[in-house]
Amino acid sequence: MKQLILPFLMALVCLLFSCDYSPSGKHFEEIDPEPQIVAAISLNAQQDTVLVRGGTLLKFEVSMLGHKTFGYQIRFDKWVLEEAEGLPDDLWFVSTQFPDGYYTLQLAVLTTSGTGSLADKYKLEAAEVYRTWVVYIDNTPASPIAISSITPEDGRLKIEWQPYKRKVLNKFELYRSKNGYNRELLATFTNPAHTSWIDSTYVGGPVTYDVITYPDAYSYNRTYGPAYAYHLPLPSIAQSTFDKDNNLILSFNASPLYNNVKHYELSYTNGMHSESITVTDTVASFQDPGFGSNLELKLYTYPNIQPKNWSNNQAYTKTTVPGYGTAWGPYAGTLVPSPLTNLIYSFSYDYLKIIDASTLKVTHERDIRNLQGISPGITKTVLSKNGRQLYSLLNGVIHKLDPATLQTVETFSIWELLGTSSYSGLSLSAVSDNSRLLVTTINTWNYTSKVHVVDMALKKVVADATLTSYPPEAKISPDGNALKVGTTVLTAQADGSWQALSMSEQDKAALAFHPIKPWYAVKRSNSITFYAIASGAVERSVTTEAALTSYEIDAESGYLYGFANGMLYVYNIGTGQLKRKLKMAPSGTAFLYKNRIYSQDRYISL
Amino acid sequence: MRYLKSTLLAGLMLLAGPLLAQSKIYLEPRLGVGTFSMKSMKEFQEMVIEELEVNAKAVDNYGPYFQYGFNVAKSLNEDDRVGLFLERGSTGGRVAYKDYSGEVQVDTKLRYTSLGAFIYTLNPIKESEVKFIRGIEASLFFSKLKLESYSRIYSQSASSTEKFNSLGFGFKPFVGLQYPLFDMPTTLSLGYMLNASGAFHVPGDSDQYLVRNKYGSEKLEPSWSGLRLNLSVAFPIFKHK
Repeated sequence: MKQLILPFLMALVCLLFSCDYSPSGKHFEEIDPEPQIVAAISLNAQQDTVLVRGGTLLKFEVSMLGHKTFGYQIRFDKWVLEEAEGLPDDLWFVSTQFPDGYYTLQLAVLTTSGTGSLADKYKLEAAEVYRTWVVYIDNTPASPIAISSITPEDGRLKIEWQPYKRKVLNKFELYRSKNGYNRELLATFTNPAHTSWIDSTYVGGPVTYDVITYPDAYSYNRTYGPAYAYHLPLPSIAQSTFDKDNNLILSFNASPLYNNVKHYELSYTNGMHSESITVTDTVASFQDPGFGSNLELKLYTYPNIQPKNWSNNQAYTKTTVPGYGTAWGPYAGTLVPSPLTNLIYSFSYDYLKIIDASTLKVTHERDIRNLQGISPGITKTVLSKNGRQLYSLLNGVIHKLDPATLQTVETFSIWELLGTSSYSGLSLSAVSDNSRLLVTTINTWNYTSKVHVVDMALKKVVADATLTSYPPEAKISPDGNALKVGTTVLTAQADGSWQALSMSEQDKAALAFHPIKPWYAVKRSNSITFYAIASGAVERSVTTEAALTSYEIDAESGYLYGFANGMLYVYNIGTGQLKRKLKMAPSGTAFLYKNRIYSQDRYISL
Repeated sequence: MRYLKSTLLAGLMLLAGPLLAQSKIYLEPRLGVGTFSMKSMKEFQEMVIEELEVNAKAVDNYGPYFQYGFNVAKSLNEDDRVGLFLERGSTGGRVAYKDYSGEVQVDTKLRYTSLGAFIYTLNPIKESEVKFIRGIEASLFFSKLKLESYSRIYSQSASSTEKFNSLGFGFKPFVGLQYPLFDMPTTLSLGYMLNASGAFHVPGDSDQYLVRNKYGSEKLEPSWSGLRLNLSVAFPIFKHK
């Protein structure tokens, strides 16, 4: 028995030698095979439909929240634009290689499944995550936007246009231009649904509006819409009247764009004087603007909002408002009344005219264009106070004219009369009733003149005097026996000689001759005293309200009239009484003729 | 290695010669069960789990298992015995994972063959036939590691087997009881094996060794340390006259 146990045990041991430990056990993990992916894919274009024109940068952003990615594909319809490992970078997409229309853009990212399974960990289980966008390609030029209507609405100007129907649009701009230039950008729109705009700066005048469409960011890719011309006349003066105090009452048409208008301004300039008033109403008044000239009135319309390159000159209307009084003429040049022949002469560089003082119509006219030349302050046609002697310097030759017809009666050469030709200019300063003509020769190199008293009947120089002031001023009394040349006053003596009158320099400077009587007048401050030329005795004296700067005597009425401080004063020399005090327009001139005060174009009763 | 083993075996035989010459010789088949610390191997399993990146588990981690072998013993006198022994033991570990998509299994099969000597003393317990014994064992450990891995993902599978060797030594103090069962001294002992081994390396090339963590700083070595429960039955094969 024992002998059997040992072999048995030894056999058992040997058997056990081949029975090594064998590891065992299993572990099964319950995992949901459904991919668990939280991913975000976005594109720099905000909308789901991406509008593309030309080239555009597609910036994709992919967030896979811890998932590993294998690669990606950017698909464009049936094409693959890009395919690579990792995640997509920016892609410059050139749309011009595709015809216009709709396309599908898709970014597909191949990623681990996210289940956490063995296959997922070893990247043998993949999921495709993708996002799709609609792409619309439009590479044809923008369609023009046409303005459909422009109308005042609610006190403003409403501009309307047809909506832009195309999808790709960067912006469009509304412009206004004046007279084809001064192009001004009014508004910029990016929403194609915008179809109107209120112009708050337009107040009137001819303008054109147009719209420029930019389909993309390149300014040279633009389409001009047709220009739409619009003209709403600017407000203008409708009516003007003078009240009994000669105040000017004006009314004007208001702008229908009342919400665009801030206020109006009325202004006029007359000589050195200008006046302006701001009005919000449509009625305005100016205090008596004075007699003797029309008013050039400007009505400015100021907008509430001033456009960028605003200038006052852009928005005004100009109206000439006639001064008060009865219209006549108007006549250009110097108006010389001749009461004794009941005529008024008009002497200008172009024409000599005779106006009948009763009818105020021109009876005779002579064309002297290009015969006198233009030299301001130099008179070349003179008429005697009695209206009988009329001389004119035409083409350097003295013409004696018929005062009733203006026809040449006789001509005189200067050489023949004066025996000299050493002068550079000529002037006829005055003529007496007995045809003593003052012919002035001027040397312009030193502005020294010589006044020659020529007896035209005898064709003989009877006196001469030198004058240093310019323009040369010389006067002769109606009887031809007294002469004032600058500050020299000479009187003719019985023996034919001339004698200087003794008086103060001041009196000589302010000396004038009476048109009818053999008197001379001297102005001293506020008084004008008349002296007999022959005896020097005081004949009359008038005290004036103001020191007159210039004065004349109407041969018909004998009234003295003169100007001071913008006023016209008329005095009766006989009584010394003030007959009329009248405010003059700053650039106005006037003369007295019988019982009327005349300006170039109007007259009123004295 | 084979040469080393042969040399050791020859050495033991030479040692056995004089013993055989003067005393009774026993052949003792031995069967035991032991636990294994395998600390390093468990760390290796953790590394494998970590590298798999799935929720794998160590479903088997070097559990207790049988050892078997035989002793050749000789009585030095009435109470003391010495002898030589050859023992073989094994254990193993497994890291496993399976889900719907596939599976992974990494088995580490460990086996040792130890060749050693022992000495113990018998002390009768009063008048009974049961004797108390105490002794020690010293041995060389020839360890083998078989690394078997298998993976399958969906229908694709792969497997590999690699073998590594390690050399170590052990020291085991033990106590036990001996009883003459059917007139054959039958010994039941309990001891604790203290084992130290070198790194597992590619057979024939100790420079190519395994590591037990990702950084390669610590070597992978078996640790057969643990409790040992052993049963042996002695058969006298020579009687010296």
